[in-house]
Amino acid sequence: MRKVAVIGAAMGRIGRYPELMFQDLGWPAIKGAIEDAGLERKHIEAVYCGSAYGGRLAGQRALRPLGMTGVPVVNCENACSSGATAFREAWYAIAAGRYDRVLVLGIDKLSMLGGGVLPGQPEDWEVDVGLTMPALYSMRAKRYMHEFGLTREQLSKVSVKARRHGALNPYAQYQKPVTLEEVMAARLVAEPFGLLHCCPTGDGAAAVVLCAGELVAQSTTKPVWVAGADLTSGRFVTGYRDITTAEITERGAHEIYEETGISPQDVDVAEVHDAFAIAELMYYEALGFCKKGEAIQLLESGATSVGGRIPVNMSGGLLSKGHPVGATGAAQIVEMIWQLRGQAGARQAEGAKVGLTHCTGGGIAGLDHGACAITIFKT
Amino acid sequence: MNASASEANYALPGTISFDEAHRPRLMGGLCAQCGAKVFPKPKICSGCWSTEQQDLALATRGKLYSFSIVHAARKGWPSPYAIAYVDLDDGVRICAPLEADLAHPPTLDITVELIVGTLRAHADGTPVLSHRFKPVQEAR
Ligand SMILES: [Zn+2]
Repeated sequence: MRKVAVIGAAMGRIGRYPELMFQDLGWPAIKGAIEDAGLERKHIEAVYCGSAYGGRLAGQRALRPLGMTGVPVVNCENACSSGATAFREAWYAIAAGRYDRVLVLGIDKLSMLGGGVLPGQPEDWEVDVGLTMPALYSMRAKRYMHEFGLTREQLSKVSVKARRHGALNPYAQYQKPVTLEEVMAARLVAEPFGLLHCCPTGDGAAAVVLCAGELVAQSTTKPVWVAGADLTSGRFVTGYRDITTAEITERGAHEIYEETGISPQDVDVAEVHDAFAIAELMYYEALGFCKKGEAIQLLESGATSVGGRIPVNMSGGLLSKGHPVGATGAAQIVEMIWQLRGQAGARQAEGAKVGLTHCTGGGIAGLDHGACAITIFKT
Repeated sequence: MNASASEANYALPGTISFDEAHRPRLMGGLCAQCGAKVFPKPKICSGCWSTEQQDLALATRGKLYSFSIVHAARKGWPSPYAIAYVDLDDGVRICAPLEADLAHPPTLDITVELIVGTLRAHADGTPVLSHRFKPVQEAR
């Protein structure tokens, strides 16, 4: 396997852009990533595109305005993990020697779907009796609170931290800090969650250029190396299941730590899939940043905030930066590249050398989640 | 057991039967080869790949594992409503609407029992029925 680095990264501000065509959401990120890498479009040998709601040929549609079709384009759908899945496949294609320079795009335009709760998985019997994604996560929260004594006020601190970080990120959908009182008093979505315990829906695109190790010296940017990229799917369980443990993330984390020889203690900065406030806490535990049941203590200690031991979601996370589903994995990776290059501005995790991105989701009855992609980067 | 007269109006057709005393039973599958109990009844056992799946009337009682009161519902769903995970006494977990006093929500791990009720309505007003669970009123 060859070494692979990310040499270009770009994204637009996540938000709601109903007036923008899907393709016009996508091409600026692609162009930005190629220019950031100091390359021209002719250098890109293949494109991997992740999108969950973009429909057919999402990659080709975003590439067409740039005259960049004519190379293999692989479109990946894996719910929230679509962009991260595309990245993993691109990394592997270079590592295996198939290509030298590949572009990864994550893109989704959720404003196409109208507002409110996302449509459920078709033919899913839990959805057919009223399960929604916020309700699923709020059941995790309710059980977690019951078993570990977490309070709604403590849960709300996750959202306050996310918004504090997002306020420092010009690419975030929400750039306004919120108080604990505002989180507690927000309109109810699915109890115990109010609106500010849930990520917004939005539109976004993010792109990176990956390069084989041998050619990295020709690049103008500081390379960020891919230590490993893990992808797995949820196991089907028909009986009782502990929904306070993120089974798929725990298993994926174990796999990638084993594969890379990097331990949770080595991770300097992380972007985790905080689609809902409880998720961030569950993922601290599943990723090994703390023991089971101790996530809120880790957050309250300040360890996961800007300036802490292991800053998590410096971008604001899904709660503040936004969650254009299929774009999210790529957007997390763009943020991580900026963090590890030392280009993250006011939200920089000082001296970060090892970064982890974690992207999981997709509601499907009987599985913890549909997919989980974890990537580790190092300088 | 008799199948319901109007299956078309059930959210999950074929999952509700009524016993001789007209009490509802939730129907799952029992794998003839490995004994796995699954709801809804599958065409193939995910464990042993046997396609021999028998009808199984599931336990009518279980423990309330977790629930949420949904305020932001999908279009056409009356809200708020409560949705729960119920761990049936025979080892099967069921996602089900919970019939409870939403102003005084129940605590977790209480015993709940199966009922059948209205889930929502079609656009023409026809009610859509489904399995539901409600807290068991224990004699004190
Ligand atoms: Zn079987």
